[in-house]
Amino acid sequence: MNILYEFNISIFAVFFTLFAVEVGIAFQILLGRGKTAEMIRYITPIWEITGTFAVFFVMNFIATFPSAISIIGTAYVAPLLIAALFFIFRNAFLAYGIYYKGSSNRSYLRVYGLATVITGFLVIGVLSSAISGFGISIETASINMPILFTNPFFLIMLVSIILISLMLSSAIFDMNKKPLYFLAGIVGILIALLDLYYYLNYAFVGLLHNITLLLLAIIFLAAMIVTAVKRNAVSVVVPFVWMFLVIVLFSSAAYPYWFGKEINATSYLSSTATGTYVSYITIIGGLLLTLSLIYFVYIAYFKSKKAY
Amino acid sequence: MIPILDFDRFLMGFSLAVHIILASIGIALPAIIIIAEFLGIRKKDRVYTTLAKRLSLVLVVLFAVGTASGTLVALELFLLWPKFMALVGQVAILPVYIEVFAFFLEAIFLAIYMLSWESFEGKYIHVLFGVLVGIGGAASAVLITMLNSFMNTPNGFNIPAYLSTGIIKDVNPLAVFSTPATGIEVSHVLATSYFAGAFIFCAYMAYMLLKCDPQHKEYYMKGLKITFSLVLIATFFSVVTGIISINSLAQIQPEKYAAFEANFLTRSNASEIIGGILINGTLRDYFSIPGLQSVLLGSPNAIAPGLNEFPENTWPPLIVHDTFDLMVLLGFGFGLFVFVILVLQLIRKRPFERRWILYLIVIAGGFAVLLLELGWMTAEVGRQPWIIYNVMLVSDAANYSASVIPIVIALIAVYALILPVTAIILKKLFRDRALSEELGIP
Repeated sequence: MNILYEFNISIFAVFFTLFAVEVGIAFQILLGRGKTAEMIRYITPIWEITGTFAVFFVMNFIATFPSAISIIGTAYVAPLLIAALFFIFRNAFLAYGIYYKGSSNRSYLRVYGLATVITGFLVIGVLSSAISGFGISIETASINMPILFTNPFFLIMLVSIILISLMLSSAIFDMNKKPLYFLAGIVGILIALLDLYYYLNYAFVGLLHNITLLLLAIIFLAAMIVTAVKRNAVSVVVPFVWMFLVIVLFSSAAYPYWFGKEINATSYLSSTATGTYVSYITIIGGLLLTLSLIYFVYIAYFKSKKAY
Repeated sequence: MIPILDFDRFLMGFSLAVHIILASIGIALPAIIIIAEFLGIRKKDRVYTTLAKRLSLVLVVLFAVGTASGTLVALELFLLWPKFMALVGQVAILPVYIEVFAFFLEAIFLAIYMLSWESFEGKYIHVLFGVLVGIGGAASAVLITMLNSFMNTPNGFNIPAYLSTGIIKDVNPLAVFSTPATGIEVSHVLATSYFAGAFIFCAYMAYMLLKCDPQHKEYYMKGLKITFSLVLIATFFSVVTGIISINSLAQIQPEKYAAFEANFLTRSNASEIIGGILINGTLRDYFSIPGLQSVLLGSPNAIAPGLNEFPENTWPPLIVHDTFDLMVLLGFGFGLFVFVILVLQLIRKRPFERRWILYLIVIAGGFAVLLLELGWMTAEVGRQPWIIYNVMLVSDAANYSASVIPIVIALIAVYALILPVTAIILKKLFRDRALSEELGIP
């Protein structure tokens, strides 16, 4: 696989892992379930970084596939801009909810939860359309919104991601009825596989051929189930690693196609010298970012006595 | 019916107009906080530390809204101007790409800064975290402005070949870091961002000094002195870089310069035209200072470029002449105001204890924001109709999807809700955190 492509998938996988966990938390906050305080303690330091990874992915995408921007930017303008508007609500109301300790605090967090879930809905809609080609016309670079958000591939994927997000949040946080959440998560994985098998068979076959990643994903899923019983640092880290592996696995399985099999994405890869510099910057910046994030995790989750 | 292109323009313009205020605060506020915390440690003064702590809460809440508006702007660049970003992606993406890491630096160390108040309070390492937040914010501004400089003075690829064939070749991705406009544009943006961001807090401190309890006077006075010091330095650099910027514009973007100065004809010994209204292509009701424009360009015989050298269909909207004049007037007005306060301070007349000066500072806070917006508007409208000067027209880069229209309306509604709510939340936040308690006043 092209190295620029691999970087793009990895950045997307980090963003989506953090975001999937957050969507799970947002659901729990909306439903009034789970230990909100513990979830807020997790989300307080990380939410800005999740958002920054979204921007990182967008910028890396532009640098990696510059000539694809005309199609994707033109077609998905509406759902992505609406998602950005809800992203403003997500940021603002989470900040209000965290820092303002008055009686409205819970209401702010509910608005945050709703905005995050809607952002997730829109992002997953665009994502599923980019993978499957449902709801987009490449020729006219336009989308059909009703089809985009009602096609079976998207609906199954949505349900699957919701179930997996709930499993992730139950694995990371101390919650009741863990077996039920895990069962839901496993159902989510199975229906995602069925979705792929029926609607994107080439990706399903690609998935089975990627033995190393597939095995790693299965091992980490097992580890997640085993470690979830006794909560410790490992049981918190494993779900993140598992989700990251799953996203990389799915993205690699669909390689190198977008929109079903309509477009071979490698033809849109940056062909100028810019691509080479983007690789260097990603490596150097990525290393510095990793070091900063390690220090951040140490301060935020181990050293700090309380959230601010 | 308003063309979709104008909705695209409005959406981008509106989003940027909101974002630059938040971005300027994001650049200046860390500097204020760092100075306050540093002084708190150095002088073992709880007042300064409290100032740093309370302002850091403001920073984090505004950062939340600011990063969201920044994300929106980043998405809009890609969604509203896809052809522009397709070219940028191949030629000039590096500064924007590196900016993501600056953004990470800011976000990560802001979280660390906030979370480590208890663990590292009173230690210089905590100030260092703040410095990293400040560097991240300033670096973001520098890098994003580099893209804007590329839009004004494009380089780094074979432009004649692109114009004739549409094919991008001979790309030098590093050239974007050193376009003819980069140095001066970056310096001016940085200086004016510190100026506007710091002035907002200067005005806040002055306002609070006017209405606070006597026991809190020291707190707000110290806040005012820190913010004013930053304003003073930033004003000096804003005026100097502003003057250099205009002169360099005559060389690198003569068409834009001619529109700013309302020069319809190229001439030497040119008069400085101030104000005026454009009616049927003729400027009326202006007044002029003979020879001044050429003198400002270097000598009485210096040639001031005129719009007659360019086809009329590429002239920027001439409203920029008035916005430019207003910007210059306000800029020099601020320079004078800040200088007077400095002189009063130097001759020990205690300017911050005079209520009329405090009132003027409060009023000036609003004008500082207006000045920031005018500067941005003049620079951007002055490049029209080009999105990349002499390479790509705005109309060629735009997304003509009709779905933009309802989003424009929704965006205005969202900001109309979020910005006042944020102000109310910040007010509530400080109402509930008693200042006396934090200052240790019984």
